[in-house]
Amino acid sequence: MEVVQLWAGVSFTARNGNTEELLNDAARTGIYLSKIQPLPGGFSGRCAAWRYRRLAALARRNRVRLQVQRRRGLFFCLRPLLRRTGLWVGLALFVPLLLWSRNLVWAVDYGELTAGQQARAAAVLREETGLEPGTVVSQDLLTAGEYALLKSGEFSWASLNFFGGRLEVEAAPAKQVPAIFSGKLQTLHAKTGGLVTEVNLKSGTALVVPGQQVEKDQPLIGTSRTERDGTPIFAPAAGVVMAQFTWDTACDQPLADQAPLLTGKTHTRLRLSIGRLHCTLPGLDGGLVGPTPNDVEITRHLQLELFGLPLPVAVDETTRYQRRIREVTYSEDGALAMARFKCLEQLAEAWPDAEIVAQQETVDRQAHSLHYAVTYTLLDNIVQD
Amino acid sequence: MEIEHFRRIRTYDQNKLCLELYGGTFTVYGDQMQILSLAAHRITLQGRFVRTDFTDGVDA
Repeated sequence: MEVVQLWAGVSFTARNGNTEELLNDAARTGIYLSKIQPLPGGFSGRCAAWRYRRLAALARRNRVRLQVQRRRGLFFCLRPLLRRTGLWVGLALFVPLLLWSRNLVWAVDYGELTAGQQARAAAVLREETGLEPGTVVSQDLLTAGEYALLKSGEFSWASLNFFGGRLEVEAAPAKQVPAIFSGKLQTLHAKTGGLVTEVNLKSGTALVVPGQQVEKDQPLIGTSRTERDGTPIFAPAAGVVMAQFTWDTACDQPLADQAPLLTGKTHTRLRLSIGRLHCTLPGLDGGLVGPTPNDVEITRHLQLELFGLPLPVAVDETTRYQRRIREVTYSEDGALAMARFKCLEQLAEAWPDAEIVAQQETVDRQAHSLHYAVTYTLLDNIVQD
Repeated sequence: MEIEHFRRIRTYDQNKLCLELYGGTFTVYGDQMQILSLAAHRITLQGRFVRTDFTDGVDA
């Protein structure tokens, strides 16, 4: 099939009159005809739609009756649409709207940040500067976003670039600041007594050796020593002395206790955000009427997406869960687990970095409570700060 | 069949195509003859051709 027929072609019949002369005139004037088939009293053929008027004029001159049989091609498929005013108006509105919307954030690229870092960076940008899909971007907003990311403390370097609706967030996660060596001018003492297992001296003089039993407040690292010739040498004391020691704690866990418990009643508030426009939607009533002091509120941010493309519409869903102080009855195993948990919390507070080598538990079951005592054997740095 | 440098078509039906050339008349006889394309000086013909005639001189 000819390319012309794919775009705009006409099939026609020519009857009566001098049809041979019409063919000659068409050939002479450069009207390209194809698929010419003889018919009784004439012929049928095809030509480009924009040549048909000229052909019709030649046909009139030769007294030939020309009749269109079929219009072919994409142009004739689209022609009904081209006559619709609404589509033209839509196109006229669409183009300026498209150009204007290039200033809106349509997609956010976080580069190589992990999923958690992406979520936190998005939250910082949204809450601190309002930079989120659907926002009109300005240079000031980008600068404010960079400062907000740096201020969050999670990133040591941040750069926001915006082009054609795409916001690129580049950030380097902050690394832990290397410890700056600072020795003490006084002798370092033991926080607790124990068996020294390792001495890692950075400066000063080690006063204990591995395998040595030390007592609480015993000097561990000194600040001066004497040379063989009797010259005193001063050096600040710094280092780590690892020791194995025991630490006791105990906890009384009642078998019945008062605790805030979820009642199952909730109330959800919805806030719709379109760019900088916010509107509150009717809440979802889950049976909760008024706020009480023990309620818990959790806010979830839902960014609407279409095939991975973030739409400039977000919903903030704030759900309030009702909690009431009620009596909780523990089984013996449950009470024991609670007591263990409380003792571990105390341990984490007292010795946050300690490694538990062994533990010895004593459980005393009474009528309405459970007494739990534990002796941990720990391994940790015992140098006093 | 492609024919070039003809002056005009004299007669055309599905069994006969008679062309006037600059030095005579050329006639193609056949069955179900169809003109695939017709341009200023070239005609492309398709069908079952039986015989062709060439007559020297142009008759009115």
